[in-house]
Amino acid sequence: MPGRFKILFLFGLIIFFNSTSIIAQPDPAKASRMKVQGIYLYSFAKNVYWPSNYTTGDFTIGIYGSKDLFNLLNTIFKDKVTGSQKIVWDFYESASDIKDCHLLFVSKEETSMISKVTKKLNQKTLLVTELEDISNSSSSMINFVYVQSKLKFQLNKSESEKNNFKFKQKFADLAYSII
Amino acid sequence: MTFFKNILSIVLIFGVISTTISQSTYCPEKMLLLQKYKTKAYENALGYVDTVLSQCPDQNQDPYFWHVCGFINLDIFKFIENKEAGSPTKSKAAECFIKSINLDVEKKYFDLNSKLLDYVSTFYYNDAVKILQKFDIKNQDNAISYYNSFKNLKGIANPDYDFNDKDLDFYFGIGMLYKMRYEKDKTNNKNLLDSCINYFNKSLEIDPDQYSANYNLGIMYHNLGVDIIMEELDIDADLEMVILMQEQAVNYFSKSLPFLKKVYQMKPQETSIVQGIAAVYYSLNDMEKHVEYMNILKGLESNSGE
Repeated sequence: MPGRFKILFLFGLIIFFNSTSIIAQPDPAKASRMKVQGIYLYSFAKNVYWPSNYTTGDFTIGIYGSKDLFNLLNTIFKDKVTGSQKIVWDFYESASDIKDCHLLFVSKEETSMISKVTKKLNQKTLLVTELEDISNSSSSMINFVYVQSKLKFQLNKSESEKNNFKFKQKFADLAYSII
Repeated sequence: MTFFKNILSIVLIFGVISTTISQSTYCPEKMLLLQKYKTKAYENALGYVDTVLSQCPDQNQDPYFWHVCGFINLDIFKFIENKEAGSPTKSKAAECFIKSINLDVEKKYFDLNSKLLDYVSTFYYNDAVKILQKFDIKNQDNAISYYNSFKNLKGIANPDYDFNDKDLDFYFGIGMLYKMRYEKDKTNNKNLLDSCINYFNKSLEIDPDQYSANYNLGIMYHNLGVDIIMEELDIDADLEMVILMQEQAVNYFSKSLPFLKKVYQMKPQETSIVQGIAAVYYSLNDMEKHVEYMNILKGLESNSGE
């Protein structure tokens, strides 16, 4: 019967489909996670009242520790601006490489270097971290935290204000917690 | 088909004799129709169908007449239309055989009509499968329509037929075509996703352990979550939108996991599944589990390299 013959083809088709299905690699998962981090960093730049002497020239966002994150953000956020300032992304491989920047993100892998990083900063930089517990680091001003698999942020208002960084109220309202 | 030919010869002889001797059913137009058919002038024979019905209205209730009409249409489909998919005469043939079955209270032609219907149904089935085989996404709706015709005819010819095996494969195949169409143009074909998921689920309703549908749903749900962030989330989006879209993505990631876990139980050595589970855990920020599966993956890869 022709029907019998055809069903064998259909089984072949199923096997073919299985072998060609696009497999979800960790890389797209990693890229999507980094993109969300990037959008947050970009919105931090836009939602802080920066001291007036910070609002001229390029706006530099430094990434310490994650080259992949830097590469992605430097590509997808290329030519983005905050106010009239062009956003420039900078990557630092070690704490000693860190230069003047408006905002510095220290990746989770470099958490142990926070105290070294803090010494390198000159209070002109908004420090963003990925700490398990923000209370362990008084120098972190914004901290990324995962709550029920979603990326959220905590604000260290006292530390930020001590360094003359003030957050827009609407932005602060979206924080997971404020200390 | 030689079988059908031999049977038809007997039926035709019987038909001619009974038509000639029975005064009440005497219909010269029907005699002409049978003669044309016997000489393989199928289209001419078909042309007589309406004449017979108008000149001899009682033929409308004659199972033999409809049985012959079925043969005429079937032969046109086979010899003139070269078994073309979507042929209206194929469908006409089926209609005639069904009509004959319904009128045939004495069940004189029942067995043959049923066999012929079954025969016609295989063409519908094959045409549906051919569309799947060729990944002919443009004719996907036809595949569904052909498959439904196959089921309808096969169900009449063989009321006890168990469609489960064929349904399982067909629903999965159609689900894959929807998936291909969606992946070809994710932005404009988003509306096809529900149909894709629906068909995969239909095949899982028949066999919840079907590997392929579970695997594809697992991978698809994870990729949907990633796509929300990578394709749909605008980098200028405000934070409320980021929060909302993360919510949607996590929802997809969570849906993906049970399907991938299920296929992992079936094929624990399959690296693509382990990779998929590791990716889902990464996306859900369950790093402990992510590392656990990445280590399993490393183990599998090093074993296969040995």
